[in-house]
Amino acid sequence: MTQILKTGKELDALREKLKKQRESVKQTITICGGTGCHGYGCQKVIDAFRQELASRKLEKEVELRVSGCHGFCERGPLALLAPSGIFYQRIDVADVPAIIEKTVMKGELIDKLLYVLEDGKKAAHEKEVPFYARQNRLVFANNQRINADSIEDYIAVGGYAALPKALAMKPEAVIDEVKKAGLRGRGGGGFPTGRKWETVRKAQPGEKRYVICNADEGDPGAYMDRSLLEGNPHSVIEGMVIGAYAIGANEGYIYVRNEYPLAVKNARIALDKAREMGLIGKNILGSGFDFDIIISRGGGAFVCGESTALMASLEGKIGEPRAKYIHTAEYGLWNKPSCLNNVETWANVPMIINNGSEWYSKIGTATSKGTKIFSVVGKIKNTGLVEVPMGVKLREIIFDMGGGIPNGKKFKAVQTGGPSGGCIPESLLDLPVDFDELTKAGSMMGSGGLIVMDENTCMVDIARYFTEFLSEESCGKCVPCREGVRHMLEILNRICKGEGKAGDVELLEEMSEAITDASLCALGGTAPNPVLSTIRYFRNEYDAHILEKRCPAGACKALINYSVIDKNCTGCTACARVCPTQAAVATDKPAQGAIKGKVNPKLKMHKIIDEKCIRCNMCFEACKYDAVQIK
Amino acid sequence: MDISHVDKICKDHGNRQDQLIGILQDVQAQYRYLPQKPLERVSELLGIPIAQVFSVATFFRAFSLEPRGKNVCQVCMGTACHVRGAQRLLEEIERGFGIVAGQTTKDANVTLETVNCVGACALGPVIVVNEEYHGRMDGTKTAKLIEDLKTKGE
Amino acid sequence: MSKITITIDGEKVEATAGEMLMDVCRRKGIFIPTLCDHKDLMPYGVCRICIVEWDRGDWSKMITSCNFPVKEGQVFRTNSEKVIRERKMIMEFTLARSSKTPEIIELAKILGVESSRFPTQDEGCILCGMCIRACSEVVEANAIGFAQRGSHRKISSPFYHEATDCIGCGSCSYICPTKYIEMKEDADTRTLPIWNVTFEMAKCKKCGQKIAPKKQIEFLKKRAKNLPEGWFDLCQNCR
Repeated sequence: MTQILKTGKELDALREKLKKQRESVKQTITICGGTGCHGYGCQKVIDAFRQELASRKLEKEVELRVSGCHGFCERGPLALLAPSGIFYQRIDVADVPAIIEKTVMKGELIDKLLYVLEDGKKAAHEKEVPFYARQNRLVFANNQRINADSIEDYIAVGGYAALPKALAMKPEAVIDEVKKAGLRGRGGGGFPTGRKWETVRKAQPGEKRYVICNADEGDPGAYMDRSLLEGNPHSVIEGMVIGAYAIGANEGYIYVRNEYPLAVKNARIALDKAREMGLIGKNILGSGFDFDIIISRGGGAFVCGESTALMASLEGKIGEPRAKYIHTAEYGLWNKPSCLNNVETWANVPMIINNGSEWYSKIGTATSKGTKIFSVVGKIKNTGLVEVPMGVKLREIIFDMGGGIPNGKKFKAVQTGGPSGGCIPESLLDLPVDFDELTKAGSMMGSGGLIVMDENTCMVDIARYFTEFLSEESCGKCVPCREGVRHMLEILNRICKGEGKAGDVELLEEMSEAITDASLCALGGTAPNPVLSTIRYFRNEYDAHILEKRCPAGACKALINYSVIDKNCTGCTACARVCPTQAAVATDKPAQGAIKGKVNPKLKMHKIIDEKCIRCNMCFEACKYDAVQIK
Repeated sequence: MDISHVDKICKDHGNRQDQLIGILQDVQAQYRYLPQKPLERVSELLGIPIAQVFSVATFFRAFSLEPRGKNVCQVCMGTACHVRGAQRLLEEIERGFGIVAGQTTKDANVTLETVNCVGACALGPVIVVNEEYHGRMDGTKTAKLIEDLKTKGE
Repeated sequence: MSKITITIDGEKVEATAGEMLMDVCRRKGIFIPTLCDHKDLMPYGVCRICIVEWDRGDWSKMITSCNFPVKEGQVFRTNSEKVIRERKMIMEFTLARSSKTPEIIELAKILGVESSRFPTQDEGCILCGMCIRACSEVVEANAIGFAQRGSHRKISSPFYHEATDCIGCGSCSYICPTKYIEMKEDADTRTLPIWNVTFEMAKCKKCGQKIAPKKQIEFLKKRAKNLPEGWFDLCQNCR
């Protein structure tokens, strides 16, 4: 039976009860059930644990917890054991019996499941792993402490404690607290949250108003909002209820990408449970305040991350932005005052109320407070989500936590801020990451995606990639974005094909000015950023493509050739077998390369016929003897 | 075509105009695409002009007005996957089935789509087949995937 | 609404708070080019050619004058170098799309753009949306809309077939600034080929002149309740 909570006291009593229950369990095994780990097949691991525990009749003593994302996606599937704190990674179904038998029952470590440190030593606990050690997990911490679909777990670890506290305050005092904390929107713009709330509260007195959670995380390479909503939906909901109370709204929306099925599912379960317990709905905790939330799923349009487009699509219209000379805080959804914040912003709210603005404002830099979750992806050893205080250097995130570049390659750039952001070169890696510093460098914070690129990444191709993305995602409403970005793409396509002309770069810059200044919304207004930032820091690569018809990174298909290095070719025929166009063929010369130290002259040396080659890279991947080269 | 499902779908969403996208998603799940008759019914039930329903149905990437294949193969084109060679894999699949992204094979077996980041960047490059994630893909694994999909169509 | 004073190109100008900047400029005889603004429609702000510079003291910002509500003390420049330069670039974009459309070629010339440096197309429709907006805001028939997005965006009837809600009023054709939407009439019918619709025309019971499509008259009858009996049977001259 679910208990309906009528007062804050009842909630406190329930929390105490749940805490005791939690403490009575001898051991827990927490498996990361985030989308990344699901991709590695963690469901099979979870099932195996269930079976193993059942067959040994250990279900009562050992609790199996399936949590949201732990962040260290690179090393999944992941498990965390309590109270020992043992951390296992890259777990396979076959490892499960041993984990129960040795670690759970006898407390012994299983060597091969431990994380290997740079010096070859093994780390048995998260805090010894550099990826985790340097983080400051405030928003993300509970992800690994709770079952993603359990409101009881959330309450037991202190969840919904901020709610009664806020409801006992005056709405203006709640706003004041958020203002003093210095919280800024985590979705990209970095607008002060408290100020937005204040505007919404004061706009159109007496009218209905809305709060909206933007979970339409569209930046490719960013998935922290997904992981929060999947792993700890109640923290977002609690933030929204507090925000709604502060601005005087009774209705809320979570606008979530349909490409995130697990987030949709877990948010739904969370809302149902919260409603059952009276934490949303009528007369929340006896305060007289009513507020409910419904989920709206997006339809796959990057532009809907823009507030006016999101609201238009909520109204059942196409996701077209409108001019913001009149703010959505005053005239938003259905022309009513509307407060839109993103997932991470909402999830920050409960801890500000719990710990106070003074505590919060001590974290971070002068103008950017608190922590920020980044997704570190691309050409990086430790792909994953890291939460760090604002002001940490990019270098620390990429090299200390991220582990640097794999395969001995050289770092070239990091792209921040998604398609609206820019590429930052090595020389600026000591930049402290906050809203203002990144903007000064010609990029932006965006939602926190950091895409790392190495020497094999072509910066012109990256600019082309983002421009293509934006051209496809443009809603098509205004001329500079619809037509201008398309023409920029045409020019970049030409350059990548080796058909660039002198003056192309200058034309791109000229076009960028008008597109930046005259586009209707931020999508168009920031669309030239990837091009401008790559011109600013990697002009030499543009020149190589245009003037020398050469791609220095070896990435642009039209400017590279595949060939065989004769002395390395062993005649193993792997390239010929995978080549889809019969471009890789045997010659009549004997092979010169050695297989296990021995040259077999009966095997034939291979070659690649350039006219037939479609640059699919299959031979390069297939060759185990480094005999295929790209030039 | 049985359009009675549409009435139930709309009712489940409270016949609310602000649930249009969700409704269209459920309609598409039912019919594998958005046929004209069900959309006209949605327009009628929600009181949204059919011109507007059509606009929305063609605006968002998630919707298809053409019948989709039995199997949906989505290649993630997010940035992390891009820098790890997603474009090449897409081209390999396009060659394999003789279609380009956005199209369906003649035998209605496979629809090939691109998606902008599925948020599984650690697994990149990622190909999603019928909602199942295939991570760390390369040319050889993709070739196998193509063969498996072809067998499914036989 | 209260009277305010703003500054345009160095001159003090009286205006009403909340009035659109373009309307103020027009009243003062200042030329602001536009391709999507119409006095009977809500501002839409998509052609972007009406941009002006909003002077904020130590910085400035480009804004579209058609949908910018003015406030006391604001300062604008409608003919700065930046305005002229950026308008030209936007005009080049539009000219590349509609390179053979006389209205576009003419405006381009006025702005000093003789040709476009980008690959050209011959699209008669400039996607200003006036047809769609007239159909929904003025006529309230909501028969047509935009299909698809980005550079694939087009004006369209539902499913690219017959526009079932079209009443044949022809507002879309009258309002189209590039005469892209064709309307044909013969003795008994009116056709709008772009929406795949043909209508039978009602005729004046007195003089036999064509009045309007029968469907349009049915549409109007439902809305206009207080008109005398038989009002729609006669043409304007015979009423």
